[in-house]
Amino acid sequence: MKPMRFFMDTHDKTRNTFPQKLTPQDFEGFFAKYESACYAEGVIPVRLHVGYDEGRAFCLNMAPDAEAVKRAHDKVGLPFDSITEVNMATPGDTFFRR
Amino acid sequence: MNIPRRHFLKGSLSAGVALVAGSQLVRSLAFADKLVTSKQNGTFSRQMRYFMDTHDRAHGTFPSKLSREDLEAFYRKYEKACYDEGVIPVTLHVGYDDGRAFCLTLAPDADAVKRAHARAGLPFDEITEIKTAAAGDTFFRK
Repeated sequence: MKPMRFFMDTHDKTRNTFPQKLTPQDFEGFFAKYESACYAEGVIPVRLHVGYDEGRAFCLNMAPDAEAVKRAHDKVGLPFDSITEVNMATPGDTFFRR
Repeated sequence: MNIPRRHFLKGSLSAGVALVAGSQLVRSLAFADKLVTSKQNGTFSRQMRYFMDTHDRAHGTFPSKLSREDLEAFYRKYEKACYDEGVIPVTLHVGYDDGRAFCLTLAPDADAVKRAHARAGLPFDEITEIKTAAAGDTFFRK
């Protein structure tokens, strides 16, 4: 297994990268497809953050590179706005000099 | 700070989980006293919701240059601004190369997140209320 990095990709209804209408029920159906596509491309879907009212999504994935994240999206026909490699910071982090 | 038992009995399971997670976070935080005293009866007066706010260098809402060391220094100010407004800074996701940030917070409403940003002098693009989903979630019919 290659070293994994973290990526956040974005979707927005106003840019047609998020469905015009998505209910939590619709999303449960879609998630299974998305999850399989991720595994097929060696991507771990860590957590999806979905704004149902505003029509936006922020998907946190672990992947060897951004290309793998892109391929997982292509596999389910899901367009996106951007893929950003990220590092996290939380109040509880051990290696964080505050 | 003890959460009254009735909260566990009255609230939905998810609200209970959020309260417990929130209270454990609050206990461990340096500014906990200030936050707790500002809240009714030592508990959150309203259920907390999740928000993701965004920053992008291309829109002038992310510094033109930000190192990991810069963030460590800035984070102290941001964290305190959050607690002063009753906001829990759950996780920052920072793209140093691309100049973007995605900040996950727990707050009573989007306006509290907005005020925390104003307090820290930090502009933002958007604040979106979100729900999360992950492969291991209990309440998820896949």
